[in-house]
Amino acid sequence: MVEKQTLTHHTTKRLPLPFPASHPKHLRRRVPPAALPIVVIGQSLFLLLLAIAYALARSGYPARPLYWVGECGLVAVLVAAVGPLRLGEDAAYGVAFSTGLTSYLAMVLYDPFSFTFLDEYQHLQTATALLRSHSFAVGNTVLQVSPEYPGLEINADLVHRATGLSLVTCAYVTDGIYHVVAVLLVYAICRQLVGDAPAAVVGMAVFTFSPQFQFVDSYFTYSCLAITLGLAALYGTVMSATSPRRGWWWPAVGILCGVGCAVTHHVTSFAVAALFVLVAAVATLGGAWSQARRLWTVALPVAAFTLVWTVVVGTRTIAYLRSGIGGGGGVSSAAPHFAAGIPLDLPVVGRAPAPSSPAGDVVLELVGYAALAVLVAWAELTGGRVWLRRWRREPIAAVLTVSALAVLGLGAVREAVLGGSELASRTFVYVMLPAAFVVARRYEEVRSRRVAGATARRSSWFGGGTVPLAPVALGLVIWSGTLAAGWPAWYARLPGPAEPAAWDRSVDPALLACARWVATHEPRDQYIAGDQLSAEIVAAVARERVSLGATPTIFLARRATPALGQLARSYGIDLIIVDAAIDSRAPLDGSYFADDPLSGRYRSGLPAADIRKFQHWPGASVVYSNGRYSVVDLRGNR
Amino acid sequence: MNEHSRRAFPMRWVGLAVTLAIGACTLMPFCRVVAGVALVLCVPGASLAAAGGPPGGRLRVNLWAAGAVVVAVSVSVNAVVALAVGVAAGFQPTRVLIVVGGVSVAAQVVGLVTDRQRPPERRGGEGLPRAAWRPWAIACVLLSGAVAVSLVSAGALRQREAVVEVAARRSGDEVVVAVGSTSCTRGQTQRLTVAIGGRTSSWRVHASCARWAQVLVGRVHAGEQVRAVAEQRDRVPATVVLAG
Repeated sequence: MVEKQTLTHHTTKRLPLPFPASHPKHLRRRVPPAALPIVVIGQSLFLLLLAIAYALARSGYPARPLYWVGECGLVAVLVAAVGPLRLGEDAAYGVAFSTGLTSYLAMVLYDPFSFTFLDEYQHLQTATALLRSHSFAVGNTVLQVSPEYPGLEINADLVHRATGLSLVTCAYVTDGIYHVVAVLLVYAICRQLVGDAPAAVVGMAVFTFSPQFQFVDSYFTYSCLAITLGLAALYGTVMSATSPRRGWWWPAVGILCGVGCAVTHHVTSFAVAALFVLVAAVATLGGAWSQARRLWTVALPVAAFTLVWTVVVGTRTIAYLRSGIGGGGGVSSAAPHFAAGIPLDLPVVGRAPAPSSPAGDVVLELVGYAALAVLVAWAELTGGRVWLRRWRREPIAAVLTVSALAVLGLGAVREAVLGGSELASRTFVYVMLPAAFVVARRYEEVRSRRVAGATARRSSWFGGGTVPLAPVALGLVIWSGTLAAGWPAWYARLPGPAEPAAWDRSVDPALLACARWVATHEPRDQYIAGDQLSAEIVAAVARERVSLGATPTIFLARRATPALGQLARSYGIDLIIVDAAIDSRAPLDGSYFADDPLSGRYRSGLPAADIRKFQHWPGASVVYSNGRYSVVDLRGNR
Repeated sequence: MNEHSRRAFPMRWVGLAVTLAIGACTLMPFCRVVAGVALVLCVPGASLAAAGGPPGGRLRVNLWAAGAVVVAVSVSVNAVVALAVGVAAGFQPTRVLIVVGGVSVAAQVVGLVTDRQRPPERRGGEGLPRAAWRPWAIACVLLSGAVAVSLVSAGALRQREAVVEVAARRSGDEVVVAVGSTSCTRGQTQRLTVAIGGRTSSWRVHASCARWAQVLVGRVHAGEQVRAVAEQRDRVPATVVLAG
């Protein structure tokens, strides 16, 4: 009997139980299962469902429900991780890694063989030029500002030279690393500022599944690397401000990554420098001299380098940003040609029903932004005032709290401003980190109140029952507010046959074959016209230039008249890229051309005569065709 | 953290660092072969080091170490087999080695993560329950399945998309018709029918993965229409008109 008691005592000591050994079995608290294995398996499973949905869609089967199940599942397992499961400090990093990896693979599996986004081909041109010339003095015929911020392309080129893999594969590999590291950094920043692992996971989820991060900010574009560097710089700054014992280590990380960000992307580097200066200024005003000194140590070099780089190297930046903000959806550049006596096929409306979007997707998009706004508003209204009162002690938190309000403004810009959709989409990532922070912080406050047993009612909401309602509601809001409202647009959510003016769905092997033919058979730096996506992708691959202004008139003209030839000559157009599908299918994006005067008014494709006229245009020759895309040579027109 | 884990835990980082260093060497063009061989040979050692190493100079055989040995040996064997098969199939040895290195690094990372999940007194490779690595294996299988489904699906689609290209520069030029697939994974034989004006000819062409079939079909003059159709795969008509 004595021996038995000793043995029991020994076992209890080696493996401490979460309840006294003397408790009756039915009163013992059940230890929740560990979150990490469940999250890893769950996200892998839902990624497999996504891949199956993609495969079904490519083969023409209905796959939309399965797709949404997969996307929902990626978020749902995170809800489980912060809700009923046991999530330790180290396991939370594993959860962040798994989330980053699976959310990136969700983008890659859309088309694992080639880029699907226009901007990726623009940066591919810079990367190829850098490889060939071994000089930074390379131009870009489509995105002229790209060579002035060559960080992304340099990295991809280095991996390409070292491994011999194709540039596209290298881009996928490097982008994957940036994406996963960015997610880990968001978790680490939230963890450091909020001080709670499950709450930091909530913040990480808000950021990872933000409207553009899963796709747009993971493409082979300079913002992909810059966001990661910017986050690393911010993490270095946060660490230097909150744990100064490491001396110069964290400020050095902040400065180096901030400098790297400055040579990689303009807007991201501006945002990072502005944030650093603002935080340091707030700390100075608050009289926290020691903290302010450490913050200025990072902010000043980063801001100075960003300014110098923009003035000395990035000379086209301001003009590029101005055109980006002012452009999109305008009709002015094409309008003068309407008065030039060229008969146009304007009444293209009414021949067929408009391309209809799945109603559920559109509703989700609208509800999504509202849900995101509600989420941020909830955090700001219930906790923001208290956090702002502590601005002297916590300048970084105060600045992030105020910055998060921009989410509400961006939603308004998207809906209210002409061309605001793209502007809002591209800038969303910069306000999602503050949004993630405020949501995480508020979540932590409510959760810690539950732990302290403040009120029984809230206790039942936050993990008290079998199904914790609050995390589930939070997950639904994150999912609908971010994934459902994000990129790709409803018409390109799933892969499939190429459609005109459908962004990710417009890139297909036939278009790339046409682009490669132009690259190998035509001189460089010619001006080409065509529908926006086809012309820009061919121009990016073949180092040609895109002609704007006259393109809508050339395509919409009913006949190939001498006046039309004169117009093409005046714009110096050498080649026209013709997508045969635009005579049968309306533009899913709403417009075929960059300056389309009929934007949003198409109900069907262009009349077939508009496309056939190129075959009978005096002096013009169709010099290439692959059944879908043709190249018309206009040089005989001169 | 007890005495054992204080010794063993840094060894895990050493193992990861060694593997990463070897992997980095593999990326260097000038020492690919040497580093590749070193990678294959050092994977077991690095895995053992990552698994806890021999604390106190004595190798402790436990579940995790045994599992690591299995992983390491299988990785090594796989590397050799993959090298032989991959090189025979035309892949670059570097690529095969990079994949093997990636798997090795992943194994180290998994070892570190699972180790840190355990209470401090049980770190260092002692008594890791078998269930600890099972979720990772399941996740790896699911992830591999997702990637495989996408690769096969997208690859099959692109394989089907045969493309016929007709190109002619100006009147009097010889017309070249090219047949192939934009992302070919295996060769394909097709019947190519080409009509220039009123004359129709047909060829049986074989487009390999590396090179599209190119057929010189004759001269074309202004106003003449060239129409080419490839059969046996998707019929993709291509038409060129010289109007100049």
